[in-house]
Amino acid sequence: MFTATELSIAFPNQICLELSDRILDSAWTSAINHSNDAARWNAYLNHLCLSTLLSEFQEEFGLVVAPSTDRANLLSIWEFVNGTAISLGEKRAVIIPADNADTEELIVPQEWVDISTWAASYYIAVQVNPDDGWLRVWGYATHEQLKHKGSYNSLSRTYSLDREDVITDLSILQVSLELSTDERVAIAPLSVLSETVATNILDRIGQPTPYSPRLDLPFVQWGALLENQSWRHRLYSQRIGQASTQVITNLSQWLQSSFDQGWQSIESLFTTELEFRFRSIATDTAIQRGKQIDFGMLLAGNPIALIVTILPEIEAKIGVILQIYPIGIQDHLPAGLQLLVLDETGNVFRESLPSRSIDSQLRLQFTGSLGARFAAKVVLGNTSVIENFTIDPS
Amino acid sequence: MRRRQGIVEKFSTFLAIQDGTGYSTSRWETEPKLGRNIKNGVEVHPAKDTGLWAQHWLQQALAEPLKPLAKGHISAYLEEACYYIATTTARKFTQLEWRDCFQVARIAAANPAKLFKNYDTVKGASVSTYGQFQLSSIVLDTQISSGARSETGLLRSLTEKKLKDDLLTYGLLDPKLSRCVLAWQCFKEIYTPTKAKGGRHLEAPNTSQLESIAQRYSQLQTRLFSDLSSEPTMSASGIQSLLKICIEATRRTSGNLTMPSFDDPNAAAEPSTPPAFEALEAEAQNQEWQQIKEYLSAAFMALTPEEQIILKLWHGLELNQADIANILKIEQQYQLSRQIKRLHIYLLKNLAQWSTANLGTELQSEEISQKAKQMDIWLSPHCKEDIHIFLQEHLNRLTSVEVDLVRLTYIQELDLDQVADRSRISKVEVTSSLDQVTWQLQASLIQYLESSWQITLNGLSSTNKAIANFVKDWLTNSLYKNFR
Repeated sequence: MFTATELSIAFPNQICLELSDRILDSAWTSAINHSNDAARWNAYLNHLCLSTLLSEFQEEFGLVVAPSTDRANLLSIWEFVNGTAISLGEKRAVIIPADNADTEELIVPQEWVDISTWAASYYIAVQVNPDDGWLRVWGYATHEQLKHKGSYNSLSRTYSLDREDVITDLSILQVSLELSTDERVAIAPLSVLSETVATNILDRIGQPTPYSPRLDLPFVQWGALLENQSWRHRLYSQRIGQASTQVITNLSQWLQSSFDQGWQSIESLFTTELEFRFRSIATDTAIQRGKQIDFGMLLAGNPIALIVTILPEIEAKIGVILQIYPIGIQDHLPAGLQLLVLDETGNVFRESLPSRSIDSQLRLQFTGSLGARFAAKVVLGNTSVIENFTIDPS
Repeated sequence: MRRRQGIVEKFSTFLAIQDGTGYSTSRWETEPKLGRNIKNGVEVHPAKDTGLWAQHWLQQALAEPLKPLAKGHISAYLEEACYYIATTTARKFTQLEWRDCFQVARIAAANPAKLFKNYDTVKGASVSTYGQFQLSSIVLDTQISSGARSETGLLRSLTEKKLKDDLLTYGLLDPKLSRCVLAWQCFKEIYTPTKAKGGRHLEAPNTSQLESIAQRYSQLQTRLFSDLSSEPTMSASGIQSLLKICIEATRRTSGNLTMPSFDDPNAAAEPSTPPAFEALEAEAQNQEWQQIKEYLSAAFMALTPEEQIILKLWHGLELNQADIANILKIEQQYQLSRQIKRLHIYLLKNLAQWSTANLGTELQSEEISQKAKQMDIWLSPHCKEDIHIFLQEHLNRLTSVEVDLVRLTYIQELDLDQVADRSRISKVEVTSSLDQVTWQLQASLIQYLESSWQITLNGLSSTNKAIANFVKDWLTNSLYKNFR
């Protein structure tokens, strides 16, 4: 196995960074708002690149480096396509992560090449290896290279450039950033979609599938749909909404120490040493788990978590405590958050007051019988996130 | 390992490695078809040197990739480079096995069309220098993520290109090949790790996941096959068996060390193209390359003395960065590595701008990349130049007995028995006086560096070791060239 330091010695003209368990965990927990495993994995790899490479590029190239869009847009892109657009000074680049062991080719989804507002001068190849704990920026290609030298794969709708043609020395990127003109070439226009056509398509492909719908309609249509921010967001939330109602967390399984994906121990949830703020209500029999609640850009920089504590009681009942806590560096909740508990029919049967900026938690407590189903709803402005629960010992 | 002598041997032999317990021995073994072919060639053109023959066979191999003999000559020729890269890489990164590295390098060397794909854009590089550059980056690229994987983990770790190459090498043809690739693509589209870590040891997909993959396959196959009537209906078990083939093909192609074989029945029928040596000689005198070298030498001279010394310690003497930082009293090692990067970029930027003004080169990434490769090829020999000149001159200070020993051992490359026999002294005496010579060379090299570069080497053991390696490398790999 190689460490990031050894890689830096092996590849002095590339960028090799360590991915600590902490970085991996935090990227993994922030990649929860996707409709399927493949999209989640894709968001995870992209998030790893974004969270580690921006400052590195900034230092390496001496330029202002920033993501080209906000978090909500990023999530709605990662749901469908691999890649993250950034600005390197005046120029545009797309980070293309891959978790392959070999670097025989750089594979770029067609979306980043043939949608004119998405296309970039540079495509930066990143090999991500979470198991060995490193990532490596192993080269880059230009738009011109992809279009003229790359091969187009119509089945996967990707452009691929052979390893031999990828530029593997990043000092060349630095010189090119300074000296070259825009390295983009002309591309064919996409379809013009009417609102009606778009709505029809959204209805058709809005159902969750275990893969991205990107291959399910002609590219000229798909590209036009994806490029339009509001259609993309609609498609994204349709797929997410339908997918998330299907996930029901069974609290009875917690009694057997079996926890579904996303539910973390309290220690691993609080990424800062501010964990002590969480005054544990734990007794010997209580079981506690938490999950980050993702409001996208609304709560950028101030992440919150839903913490569920269950206490087995007599006569086949379970005591349930739901709490909302800030888990970032802020020790107060954002103002206007509200926590609701819905019963099986969707009616509100418990609700907290909206949080004030001085509040450090929201809390609701009730007793549930076996077989009960309920949902926790966290509301912020017009947006809400729902977690479904059941207490089902069968 | 003994260096090969003469053109016939260099273009027709491969290293055969025999394992003993705890050690292994190697010798050069001739591939008969290649041997006959190059012998015929040398009889017709006795005066042409190794470099020209290498250019000739490469040109043939690139022009007609199916010609097994031209390809064979090139891979035989690169055998020493493979061995050298494998051993130095494994010495530098002790977690690697030199045999694995050697195997990877050899497979790459056997495919000149890929290895030398952009060779023509880098004017001035010799076949062996360019080959070495490419081979060493291939070895590192493939070895850094090697290590144990579950079958499913292995499948997910491939690029499509690697998979296709493996399937082709395995002998798969269409439509089976396309079916395998499509099954794999659907698998990769749907089946991913569900934890932050653990992709290496990923478990196999379960039946319902295989069914999703099969469904996806059925959707996508309409785009791939024009005649669907002959295509089987895809099921979970169908996907499973296609993926099994992919795994087998990938496992098979990373096998044991084997000697290349030229039992191809078409090989005998291959017409021999008369070498166009005049054209190749003209190419070697490439004007542009001469101009670039002159420009770079001048640009190097224009750096401050300290900057020149940094590059010479790094590319010339090949010290590690910790030692260089220590010698130059640079507090943090990362400052040094930034400084080295900065100097590279500075030289490259100037070269790119000069090329635009003087050679009409465009200033886009690809063109800059070609210039960067030329600069890389130029830089390391340039930084070694004054040290080599010093060592060469120092030989004059040896006694005539010592000079004889050096000549027999390093220039004629005789083994210890033969050297002792020729010089009429015992083997022990040969060894001890050669040790004495090496030690003397090292000591005076240190003295020379300290006085002419005005640095203090501090006697660090890693620095001393690097200098000892440098001297040894010069004796075994450079000295003979100047006497032939």
